[in-house]
Amino acid sequence: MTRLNKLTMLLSMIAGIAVSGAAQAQDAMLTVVNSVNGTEVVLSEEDVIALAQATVNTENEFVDAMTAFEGPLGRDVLALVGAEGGTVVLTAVNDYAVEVPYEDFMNYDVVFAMSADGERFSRRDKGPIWVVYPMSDHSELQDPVYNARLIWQLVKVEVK
Amino acid sequence: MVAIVLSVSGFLTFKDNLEAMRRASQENISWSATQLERELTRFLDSLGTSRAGTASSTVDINQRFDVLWSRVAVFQRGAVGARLRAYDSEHVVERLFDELKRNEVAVVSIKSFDFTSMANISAAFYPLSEQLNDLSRRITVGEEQKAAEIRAQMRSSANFALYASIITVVMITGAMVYFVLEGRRFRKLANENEILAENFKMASEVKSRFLTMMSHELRTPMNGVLGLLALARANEEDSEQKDRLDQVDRSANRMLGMLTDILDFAALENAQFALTKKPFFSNELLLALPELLGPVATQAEARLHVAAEGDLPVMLCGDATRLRRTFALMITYFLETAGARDIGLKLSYSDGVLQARIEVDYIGAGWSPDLLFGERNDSKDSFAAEALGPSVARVLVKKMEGTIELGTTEDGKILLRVDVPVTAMTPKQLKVQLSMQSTPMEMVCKSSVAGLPIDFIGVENAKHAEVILLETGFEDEAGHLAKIRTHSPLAQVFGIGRPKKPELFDFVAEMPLQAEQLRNKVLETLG
Repeated sequence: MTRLNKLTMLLSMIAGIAVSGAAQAQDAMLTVVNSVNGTEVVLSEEDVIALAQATVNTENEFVDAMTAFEGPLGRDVLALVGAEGGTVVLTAVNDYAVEVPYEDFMNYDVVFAMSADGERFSRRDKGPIWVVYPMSDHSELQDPVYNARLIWQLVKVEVK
Repeated sequence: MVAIVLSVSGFLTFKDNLEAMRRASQENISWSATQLERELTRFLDSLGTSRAGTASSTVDINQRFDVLWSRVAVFQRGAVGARLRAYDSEHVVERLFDELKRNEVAVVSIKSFDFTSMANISAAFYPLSEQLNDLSRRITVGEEQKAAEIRAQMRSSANFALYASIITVVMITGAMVYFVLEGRRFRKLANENEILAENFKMASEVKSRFLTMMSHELRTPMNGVLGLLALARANEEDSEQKDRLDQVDRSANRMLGMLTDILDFAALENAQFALTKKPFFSNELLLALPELLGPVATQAEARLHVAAEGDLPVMLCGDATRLRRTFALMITYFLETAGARDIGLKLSYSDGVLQARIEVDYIGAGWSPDLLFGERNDSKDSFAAEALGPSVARVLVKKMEGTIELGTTEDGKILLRVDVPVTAMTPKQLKVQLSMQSTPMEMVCKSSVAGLPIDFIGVENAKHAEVILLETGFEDEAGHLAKIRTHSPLAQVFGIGRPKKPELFDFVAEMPLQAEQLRNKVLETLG
């Protein structure tokens, strides 16, 4: 994605948020923060669905078979706040957090999955968002380091 | 082979252990178990905080409930879930899930300050807290044990791989040393063999030289003996004494023949032996053999017939001298050794092969055909010491890339088949101009090439001449030769005599005229 596209998307999203006002804050699904440039975007479920959706077919240690995970790509979400590098801190609803290098999102199709095999995640499963790496396509990702990055119940993304 | 097996075994063991380590190093299930225990604690804390009437809301309680539910779900799917369940022999997680489902409605509908419900819910989950703690401990201890087992296995595997590698290196080193030593030994043997072969070759050459020298040296006095014998026989009038002298003469001639054979044999073993292939008239061969062998046949009181059979080409290309020698040696042997009474030689030609069939009617006393090629015949206690001639003939045939085969005819005669490759040629009529200074010289030249297909032309047809025989030894030879070259550009000019500049001629036959030399050169031109 070009820098111009990123900026356009960022502006449109910010504009959308501005229109939503206080009601938006109540329906927030994902908060994206860029501490480097001071940008913050709060996305509702509709906002996340409005982003370009990608499908990653993969297995991992937490599913029984090959599964189709669908949701926006991590790099598209980071582009909303103009991220260009650094470390990305992913935080779950229970405040559990992991640090992920920005390059992971550039090198791999890391998806912020909202559904698996067409079924939406509930909070009692791994919802609303499960960060999924394409492990079946890249053997180097089949490692405990990347297993720890498969954070679920994601609610906040912060670029540092 | 052992080294390869050891290497492969070491590699496979190491690979298996790497795989085991990779599996073990996947998701840390201790962490998952701890998370479950922690989330139960946090859920209970949220209930406790609400009862205390402080910060927590029903939303917070529901959120903690959902998170706890999600942690239980981890136990139900995937490789991680399977490994976690393997430790939960008391079904603690299953009971926790049952408790979650049983309290779901109560949690979802819980109201602020409904301390009774909160207390009931807490009471339902508290007993499981301790059991989850035990489960976490079991998982942690179990995973540590597995890790320890894998580490021990890795150490064992590494040791095995190390020993296998050491043994392999030692064996390969040993094998290399062995091959180096063997290589040296073989090189030494090869050198020794080479020296032996060289010595043998030198000895063989020395032997050949000795044979050549000896036979040559012996032939000279033998010729003297034969000459004196001839004189003695001519002057002897006493018939008894003359018979004895005849006998001595036959023996001396036979010895001379054997010396010639030895000389031939030595020549054949010489590395510089080479065939001389050139055109010759088949008729010459047919005429030369009776002329050469007639006296021997007469002496042996045997009949000799030489004839052409089928379409024998008029001209052939091959080593005529060696062919004549081969047939002469065989026939002489049959006459002198086999007691032949009648010998017939038939020459024919087929598909590039000169076929000679020698049929021999022999007496057979004390001789058998198997002696022909020098093979030992134990039953008759006889050796082929006299078969030197046939041996020379056999080698000559081999040198000419021919074959020689012994058999019998239907009426019991010996049949010797000799096949030698030759080339059939069609002789042309060679146009020869004679440029001589005297008539006798012309006659001498003509007699030298008698029998050859030559058309002698006069000076008026000089431009058609293919060969010009020019007698040399006059003034301005070079000028005369230049004129000839101008008038007869296609002709080869053969000088007869001793020209001042032999290099200007295509060939020179010196005086006294070497008839055979000139004849051979003309024959070569014909070919």
